[in-house]
Amino acid sequence: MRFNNRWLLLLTILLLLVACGTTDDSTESAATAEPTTAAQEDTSAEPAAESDEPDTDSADAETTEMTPLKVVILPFISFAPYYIGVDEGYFADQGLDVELVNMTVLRDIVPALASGQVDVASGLVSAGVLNAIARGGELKFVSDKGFVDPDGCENYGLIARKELVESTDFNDPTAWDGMKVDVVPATWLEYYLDKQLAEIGVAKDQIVQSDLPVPAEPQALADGTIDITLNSEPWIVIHGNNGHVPVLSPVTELMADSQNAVMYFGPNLLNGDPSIGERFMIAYLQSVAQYNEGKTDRNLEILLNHIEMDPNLLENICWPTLRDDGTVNMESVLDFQDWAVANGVMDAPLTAEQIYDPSFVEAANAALGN
Amino acid sequence: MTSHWKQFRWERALPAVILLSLLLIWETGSRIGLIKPLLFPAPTMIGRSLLDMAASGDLWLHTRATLLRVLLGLLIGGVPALILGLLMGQSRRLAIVLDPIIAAIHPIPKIAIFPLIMVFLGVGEGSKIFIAAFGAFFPILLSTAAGVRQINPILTQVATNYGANRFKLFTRVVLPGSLPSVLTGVLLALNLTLLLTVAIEIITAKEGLGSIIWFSWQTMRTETMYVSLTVLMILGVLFNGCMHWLTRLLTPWHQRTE
Repeated sequence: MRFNNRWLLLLTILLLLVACGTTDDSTESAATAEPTTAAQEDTSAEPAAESDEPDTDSADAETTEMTPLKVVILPFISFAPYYIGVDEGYFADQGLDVELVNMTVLRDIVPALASGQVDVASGLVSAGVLNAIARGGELKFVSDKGFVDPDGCENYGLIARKELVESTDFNDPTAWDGMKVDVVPATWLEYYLDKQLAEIGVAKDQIVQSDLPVPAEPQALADGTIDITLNSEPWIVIHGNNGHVPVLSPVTELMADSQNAVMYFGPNLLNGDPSIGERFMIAYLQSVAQYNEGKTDRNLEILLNHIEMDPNLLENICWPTLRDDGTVNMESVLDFQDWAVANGVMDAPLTAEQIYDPSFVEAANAALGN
Repeated sequence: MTSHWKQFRWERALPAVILLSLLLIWETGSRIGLIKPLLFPAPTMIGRSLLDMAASGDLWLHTRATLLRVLLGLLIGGVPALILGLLMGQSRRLAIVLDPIIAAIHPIPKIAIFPLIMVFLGVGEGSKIFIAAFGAFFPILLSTAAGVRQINPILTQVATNYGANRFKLFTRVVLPGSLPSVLTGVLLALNLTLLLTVAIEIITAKEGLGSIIWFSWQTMRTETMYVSLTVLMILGVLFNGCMHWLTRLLTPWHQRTE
């Protein structure tokens, strides 16, 4: 009985501690609560881009009501401009209070964006996003967020496990029989894989395709669960450190100028006051311009503030190039779409107008004098 | 008698009426645009997708893969759990030693340790079935041990006085006495194993009802996700029905007592 009472006392103390902790937390979250959506609430905010005196933007932003915007971030280096925009105050200069919302995978983004829970998202060109548009989802491509720069470094690659590299002629189509390839399906990555395979005359049914969580890849390559993975940085360098190497044609040769990632706006920005989207785009293009300066001390400092990565690794990996003017290569997107329809991951093709709204980048470029 | 029969039929019909009404509201809402069809496609669209997948054989392929993992997980996790549960129920010492260990391991989120399991068992079937078995283990263990402990000691004493040896005591008293509780544990384990299997399939599998859910989000063809969820609901109802039937069959005395 005494034993039971002791446990009861311990449980009571634990519950009290939890209760105290909960009270503190709830007070804090109530104090910091922000409005969820952006565009509907903002119509009163003065667009800083339209101000007669551009150098007073920061002061205006401090005195006028800031427009809250939720922007989705995925754990990839190409999201660096958003961090730069926040830390350098480019978004704040435009009267925007940008909250970066971390997510881990592309497929979680579309429901959040289409339902207006977040305002801006970015990710690979994918059948999922195009299907969402085709099915009435209120979202559109609005800007570049990554393309294969023919003069840039290799940001994507097919990485073969080290045991295969010396014994296999990857240009021999028969060598691919039963090859276990890890790739995210129905996205630009699988489209790129198909282009690579087609170039050397390998049929898709020769390979065994899978999609593993990225953290499982090193072990899967080590124990032979997969033979090849198609991935981007920093994984090319990480796998390279384990002896696995890129094979076949470099992405910059095979997929030159291909649009691999884009920024999308959801219903809040597409249907609300267009000046909010334009101001966001001005700040984004300013951030891209700084990002494209490369691995400067300031850019490295900002990135290390936001992402948990070994500084040496961050300096060694390839940073993908982003288009300075933010335009989207729609020819490439439509080619991806043809591939998606042909492969049965899209129901029917869309027109370029249904997919892409260039008005935001056009307005931003005009405001920036590009 | 007639009014009782009528009441019985009405009670039986009520869930179907509620379900059909909800489906009708959903269908209407989706068609007139009150509900976003991107995330909540109309039930008729889901039905069409279900028929297409069934006709192509895809649905059976995925359902079979999930069922196989569930049943293997249940078997691999359930048999040791049953044995250990019977032992713990009978041996107070063993229970004192193992109870704190079980209390510590049981709440571990099985999905959280999946990457670790993959390191040891690879990314193939082994790791998936291990997680399913891990999930099945605890409900059966705890229900079995509890079932043995709640047997009236008088029954054991009477059997011993009549000269029952340990084996007879086990087969005539312990096993039948704990069986209702064991079967409840199996039902809980079945549902938990199904849940864990689908969760793992969402992360990594190429086949299985969870992989349908994952791919439907990947391509934003959400109607196929609802097809998978419908099959999972049917499986849940079937599991429940089968276990109730099995309980009635194996423990008729328990039903009479109730």
